Parts: sequence; structure tokens; C-alpha cells
Amino acid sequence: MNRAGTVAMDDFASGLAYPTLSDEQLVARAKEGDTDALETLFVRYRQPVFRLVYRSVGNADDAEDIVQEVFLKAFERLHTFREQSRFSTWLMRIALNLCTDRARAQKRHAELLQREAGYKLAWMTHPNPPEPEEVVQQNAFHEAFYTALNRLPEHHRQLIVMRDLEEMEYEQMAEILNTTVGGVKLRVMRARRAFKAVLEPLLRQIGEIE
Amino acid sequence: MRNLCRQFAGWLESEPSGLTETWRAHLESCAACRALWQQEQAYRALLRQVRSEPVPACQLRWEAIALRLQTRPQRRILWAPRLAWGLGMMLAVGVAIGLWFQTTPRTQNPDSAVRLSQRESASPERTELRWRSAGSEAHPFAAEPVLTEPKPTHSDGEPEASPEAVPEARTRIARAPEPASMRGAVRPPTTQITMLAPEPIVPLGDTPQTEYLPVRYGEPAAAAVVAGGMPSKTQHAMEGVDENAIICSF
Repeated sequence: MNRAGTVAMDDFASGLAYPTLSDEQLVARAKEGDTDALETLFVRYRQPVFRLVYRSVGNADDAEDIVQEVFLKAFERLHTFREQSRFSTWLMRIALNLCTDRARAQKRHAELLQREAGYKLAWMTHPNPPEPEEVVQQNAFHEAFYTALNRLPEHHRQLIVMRDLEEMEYEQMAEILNTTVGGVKLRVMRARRAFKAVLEPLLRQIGEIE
Repeated sequence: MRNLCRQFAGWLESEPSGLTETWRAHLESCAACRALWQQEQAYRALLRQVRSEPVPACQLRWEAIALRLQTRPQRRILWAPRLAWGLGMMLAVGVAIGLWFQTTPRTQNPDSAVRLSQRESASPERTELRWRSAGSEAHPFAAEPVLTEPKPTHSDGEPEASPEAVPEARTRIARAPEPASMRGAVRPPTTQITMLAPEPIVPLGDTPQTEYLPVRYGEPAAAAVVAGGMPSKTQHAMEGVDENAIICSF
């Protein structure tokens, strides 16, 4: 993620109290109750977290709700942050966990509605149906991609988002997922196989591949 | 050829940046691998396209977060100390149960049988036994009276199963451990002392005339002395039954 330059510009542009302090220094100050440090951390990581969540849920409104929850949770539990990993990693982990929680809740809710409707709501089989105005703007590739992505299980979807869309390094992914680099590589490989298996028929439909 | 195709599929999954000359030559001769390569290229093109689409800017403001942080009730992790406390309690209860099992007497043990019988006799009609030895405050072998019910036996020596068959008036006094001061001293040849007493035993203090259990070690005369008088009819009647019996008269 090439967010370093953007982060610095955001910090200076918003007139933050501590634009030059490192994450560790800001976390230390925030633990002592310095709200300016919290604000600096929020402004620094708002957009990166939003990008990840947006890619995962595919909807800006839902993504903002989740991002807000991510920062609330992180700042409330900042005293539990042991600094064994980077703050950004810790934040991304919270974000992914909340995305997973939301996906589960959505699935449960959809199943409940389907059951009540006697399994006649076919459109609800897609957890994140594209909004009508977005459909107009999206081309066929985009639609096929997100349709396939939404059909994936949450753990596979997160890996595709992190590696193939956000282009995260394997090392950072390993930190976020609390596993080894080799383990992450294996999981990404499996996620890609699953993703391609879903994507291929969709691309065939639109004539992208033979 | 199949092995080469398998290697190519593995190579594709390792995120290669481009085709090498070896693989280019292989693709020219293998249609299946060529299709795989095309699929991979289509996938990458799709990823590039999706990545190039702009992500909307996050509209969240710090003021909203700060307000929520102020108004939201503090949710400290309360379960951690509770969990520790609960685990500590469980451990303590476990240790207590373990100790209880370790120290609780077994019914096969005469000592434990006495304790059980003592526990059972903890009632308003509780009977107390007071021992008196001739000329001394306490008998060395009777420091801790141990009472057990004798097991009735069949003619072939097997223990009787029915509790109704247990004689009511018989209790056996097992010997207490020998004190160190008495080791080596000459003592009566009896190894087992039996007390015979009619039921019920009158509780001490309930009658103006306090009575004591007479103790005898083998000799009727000694038993009479211990009993504080002449041997009673009961004593005489039981003389032939068991030489080692303690004859109790009331």
C-alpha cells in the first residue's frame, strides 16, 4: 500500500497537532489521554482502512459505518494494544474482523428473510447486490468481477482484496492474519483458485475468454 | 509432457511477471497450457482494471468519532478479571474436593467406621461412654475408644449379608494404636477386646447414678474390680462365650 505520501499530506493539510510523530509516539500519547494524538491517528489511517473495507463490502455507506466502528473499537481498546505489531496492522485486523462479522450477520439476515419468503427471493443470494445507479456506470468486467468476489466465502474474499486489489505484501498480510508468510501464500493460492472457478463462467458469458 | 504442464500450472500460481523462453516454447506446442495462460492474462487484466477504478474518499469526520467516543459507554474488558476469579474459585473447589476425598475415611477402615458410627450417633439420644481403668486416669490401650459392629457370620465363616441378623447389643472395641511408652511392656494376652452391653446404653448425666462400662482383660476377677463390684449375672452368663470379652453391667 503506497499510502505513506498521502498520509503525510493528509496530516499537514488538516492542521493536525502531531503531523510528524510516528505511530508509536502517537499511540503512547493517546494512551495517556491525548485526544490530538487520536485525531492524528484517525486522519492518518482513515482512508487506508476505508479502501480495504470498501473493497471488501463493495458499498461506500456500509464501508463508512464499518470504518467508524473500527476506530471506535480501536480507540476504546487502545490500552490493550501491546505494540507487538504495527498500529496499522492492528487496525487492519480489527477492520477485517468487523467485515467478517458483518458478512455473517448479513448472511444470517438474508437466510432469515429467505426462509420467511419461502426461498423465493433469488436476488438475495448475492450478499452485496450492486446498487442500480452503480450498475449503469459499471461495465461488464467490473460487474463480473464483483459478482464473483461476492460469491466467495468471506475468508477467501479478504485474501483476494488484500493481495490482488490492495497489493499488500505477504509479510504484512501474515501479520494481520496472525500467521506465517508461507501460510498466507498457500491461502492466497487457494482463494485465487476458488475465485477463478467462480469468475471463469462469468467471463465466458461476456466473451472475455473462450 | 504432462509433467511439464503440471510445472507450468505451478509456475503460474507463483505470480510470475512474464513468460520465459522455455515456457513460451512449451505454450506453442501445448493448447491446454496456452488456454491456462490466456485465462491468467484475462484475470490480471481484470484486476488491473478494478484496481484503477477510484475508491471514493471516506467522508468520516473526526468530530463524529470524538462525539461517539464521549457518549459511548466505556466498555472495558470486564470478563478478564471475572474469568481469572472464576478459574481461581474452580481451582480452590477442586483442591478442596481432592483433599476431602483424600481425608475421608473408607468404610473398610475400622477408624472410619467408628467415625461414621459416631457421626450417626450425633443425635439427641447420643450415647457417651466413659472409660475408667483401675487405679489410673486412663487406660493406655483405651485412649481412643474404637467401636465397630461385628460382622455376623454363617456357619461356614462367610459374612452375613442381612443387616437384620446383626446382634443389637454387641459392639466390638478394636484396639487403639499402642503408645510408644508401652512398647515391650508386659500386657494381657488378649489381642481383641469385646464389649457386651445391653441396649440402650443410658446416657451419662440422665440418671442420678452414673454408671461406667466395666473393662476386663481376660480375668473375671479383674473385670469385677474394674466394674467396681462383683460380676453381674450378665457377666457370669457371658463368661463361657468369650474369654476376651469386656463385660458391661448397668
